[in-house]
Amino acid sequence: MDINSIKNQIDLDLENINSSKELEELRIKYLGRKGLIAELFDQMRSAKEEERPALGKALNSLKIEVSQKLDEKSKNLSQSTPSQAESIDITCDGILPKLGKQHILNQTIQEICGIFKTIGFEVVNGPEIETEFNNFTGLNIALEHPSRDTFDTFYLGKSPSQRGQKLLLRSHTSPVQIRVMKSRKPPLAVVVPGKVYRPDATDASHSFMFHQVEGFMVDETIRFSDLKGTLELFAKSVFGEDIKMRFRPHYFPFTEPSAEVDISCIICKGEGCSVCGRKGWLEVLGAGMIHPNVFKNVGYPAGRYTGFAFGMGIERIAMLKYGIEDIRLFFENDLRFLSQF
Amino acid sequence: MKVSYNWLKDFVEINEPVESLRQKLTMAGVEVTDCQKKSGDSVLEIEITSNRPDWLSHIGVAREIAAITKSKIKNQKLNIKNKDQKNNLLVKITIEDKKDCPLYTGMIIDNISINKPDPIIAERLAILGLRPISPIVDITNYILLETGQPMHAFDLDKITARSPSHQLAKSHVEISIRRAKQEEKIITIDNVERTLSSDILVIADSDGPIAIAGVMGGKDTEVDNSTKRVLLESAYFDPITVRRSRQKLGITTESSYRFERSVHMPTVLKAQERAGNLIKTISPGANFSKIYSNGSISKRGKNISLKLDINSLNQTLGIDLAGNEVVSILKRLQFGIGRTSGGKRLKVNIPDFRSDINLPEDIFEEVARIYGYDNILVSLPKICMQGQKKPAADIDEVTDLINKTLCACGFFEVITYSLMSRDKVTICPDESIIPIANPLSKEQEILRPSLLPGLLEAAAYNFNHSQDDVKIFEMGGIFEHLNNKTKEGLNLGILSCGEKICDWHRQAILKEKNAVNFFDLKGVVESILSELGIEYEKVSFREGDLPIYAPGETANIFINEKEIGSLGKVNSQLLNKWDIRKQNLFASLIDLEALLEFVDLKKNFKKFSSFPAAERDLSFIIKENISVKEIKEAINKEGIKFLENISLFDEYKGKNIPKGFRSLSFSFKFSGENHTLKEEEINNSLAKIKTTLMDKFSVSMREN
Repeated sequence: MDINSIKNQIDLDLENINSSKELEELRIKYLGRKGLIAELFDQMRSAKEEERPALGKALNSLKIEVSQKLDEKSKNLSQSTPSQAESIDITCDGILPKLGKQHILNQTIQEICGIFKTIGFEVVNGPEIETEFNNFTGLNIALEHPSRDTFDTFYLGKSPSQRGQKLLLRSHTSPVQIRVMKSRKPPLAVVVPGKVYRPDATDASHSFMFHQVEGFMVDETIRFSDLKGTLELFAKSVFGEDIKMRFRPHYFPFTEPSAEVDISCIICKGEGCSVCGRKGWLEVLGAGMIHPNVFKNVGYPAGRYTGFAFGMGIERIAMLKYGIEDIRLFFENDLRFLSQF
Repeated sequence: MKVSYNWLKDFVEINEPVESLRQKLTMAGVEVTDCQKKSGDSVLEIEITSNRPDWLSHIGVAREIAAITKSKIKNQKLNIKNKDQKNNLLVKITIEDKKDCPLYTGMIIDNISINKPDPIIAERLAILGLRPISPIVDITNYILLETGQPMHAFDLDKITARSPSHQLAKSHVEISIRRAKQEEKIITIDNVERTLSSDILVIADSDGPIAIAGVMGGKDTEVDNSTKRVLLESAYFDPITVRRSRQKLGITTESSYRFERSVHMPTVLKAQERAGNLIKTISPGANFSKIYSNGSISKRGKNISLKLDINSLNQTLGIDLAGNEVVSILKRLQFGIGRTSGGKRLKVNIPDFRSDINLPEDIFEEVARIYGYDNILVSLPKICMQGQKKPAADIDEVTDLINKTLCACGFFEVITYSLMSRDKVTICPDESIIPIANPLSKEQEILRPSLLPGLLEAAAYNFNHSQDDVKIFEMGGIFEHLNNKTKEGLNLGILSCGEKICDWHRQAILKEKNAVNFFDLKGVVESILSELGIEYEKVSFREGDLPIYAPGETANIFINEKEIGSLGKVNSQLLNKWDIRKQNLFASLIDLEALLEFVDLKKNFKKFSSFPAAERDLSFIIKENISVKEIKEAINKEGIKFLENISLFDEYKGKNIPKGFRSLSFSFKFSGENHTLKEEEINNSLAKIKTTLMDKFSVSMREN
């Protein structure tokens, strides 16, 4: 082949090239050690002496031209869509890293405790096996009064007892109030998350084991209005700035005055729906000013301190917040449930 | 409790539509949970807290409405006329213990003849869902709903018929209020024979019990439509005694509900008058005895007074009410106001129906309730925290860190029940198990002694729902009975089962499944310990023998010489208990409290070399019984220069390896702190390792 036919041929060849592999083969065909251009250089030796410089010059410029054309093609190739032979189907599923998750109830507890931590509360834990004193008597709940009926309680069998007191599984987190106040002096600002137990038949809205977060603050000038402000801050952080709140008088043996706290239904925005029982309100907290008898029972001097306390059920909060309709889902531990949060 | 809107209007002027009344009651603590229109009336369903027995009647709710809506009370004294025709019948009442029954009254009505029941009574009872029984019983039910005082009517002729002694003396009846004798029996009006015990208070004649005091009457002496003579009972029974009776018998009635919460003593007598009055209207010919009574209105029924400091009230509530505003609220609630000193301290006389008011704080609530909780402005607490010193390693920080580490390793946190059935326990000696005294079901028999059963339960649940990759963990309490004490400990349990690599791409390449194994979980445990700042050198995995694991594939985990947990392949017998048919489940159980003392969350930056590291591999054949741990320790003891890390990358037994031996391959990483290592330096170090291995373990090197 002479210079001109190579010039023509390279253009034709390049047109048929679709992959870098083919291009590489073409490069070898033209520029390789035994390629077409090398062949022409070899033939140059048999050319006449006076023609050689011009021929060499022409061959060199041919070599540069071919090389440039190959480079250009290579550039175009990498810019255009790769051919089927060497590409991947990028629509195949991405390989999801296997992420583990914290249980939604513990996430909720952390969120709630986190809110109270930002306003100076500390988190304290307490045991699940408790004495009758800490669970009832210390909290001004008479053992044989109807107010105890809401606190059906699991007692431990085989009568293990401490100092003659019957042992039980705590039916609320409030015993930790007694524990903390007995061992420390105000000011106190404490939140207590944890498991509690009540012998309830299990159904979509009842479980014999559930979680509560308890909070209390004690000092010399704590007011009912502070309780309202604190809980408003909390509820708006959890359920959103636009919810409404209301405090209704209620009765708890360990607080006086006592209140039940409702938020406007987050499903129907107060219009009335099946979740709120057409009331427009959802009860989410029990609260009140700590009863003077509780202070007396922990040995605080009479009249010295005031304080507020509140408690909430975590399952209920999570159910409302995430639209979960059956409490049993929390304890079945179905991975299809756990992985959603 | 259900109340009728129209009936309430007998006792208070209501100028509000039902809906707005409902709202106001709810916001004052009388929660109206439902409101139904019914034959020209409205029935309000209200929830009454256990401290307010005075609300358990129409008169009580009407009184509250008057206070809330500032409206006028009507007819609260009831329309009680003197009954003229008197009979001479005598009731002899004996009370065994005045503590059980401080006040008992009885009245005999004879010559009863009823044409038709009072239409208003019938209608109101019907609206409130009470079926008519007999005109006399309907009247006692009516009085209960009206005044809150439960009454009971005995058929006097049936009492006389029971006992020969009564038949002899028809002009009087003797009853006693006493504790039941052991094994004494009574058939109650619901037709159930009940065996009594000495916890239970009864009304008895000489022949035996005729009623369970405050709970339910006896069938024997029940009045009916043909009753001519009745003995009408109105009494105050001790709340705790009635509570014990109804708990023991498992029956709650409208009566027991009220006695348990304490009835209003002065109403005991008024109810008798009221009953006589109502009976008279339907049986004009009836004759009445006088009201016989035993006992008296005790201190509880009389007025008490409390001192109220307005400043203290304002301070506690966070409001600023003037003395006269407080007085006005209290007067609406029928509280009496005594002398005041400068308007800042009040003497407040508590009405006798308010047994719940015993402290100034109780009055604070009353004022706040009527003022309106919603009218109290919000504030934030002014509190100066002393700050708590944080313990060296807080258990919350530890659980938090473990949680993060395990989630990053792909494990899901689960929460399982702390109660379980006894037959799912396997490893615990029976005497260490803590049983529940009053479980509702088999699943609540005992407190869990380990986290493993709950984890297996969760795993089985997921397997049954076609989810085979189960990597879960739980941190929670486990319980045991030890040295006559209960012990509650915080544990970590991890369970792992399924594929390690299970994405479509690698499966396609590897053409094989890659199940998790012992070392996967061991690595997870090692990661946790490392994240908790526990030095690798302190940790050892020693051959374990817990029966929950398969023999030979289990280890006990030690930090220094303290055992903190275990790890292994779950024993297949255990898996059978949960009907798990899979084989490769691995679990680890760790005592977090035992671990706590070794946790060190302080972190110090360790410099790393900026010069490139070099890696060299060695493969050698070594006796099978020499552990990897021993090999690493032997090399580490030599203090080999530049050696930074040793890691195992292959283990091989079988073809070409003599029996009792195995081939191990390690990768050694060398680096220099301040220079790039020369080939010679690396070779020297590697040679030293080879010598150590050959001298100590007589290994034979394999040439690659």
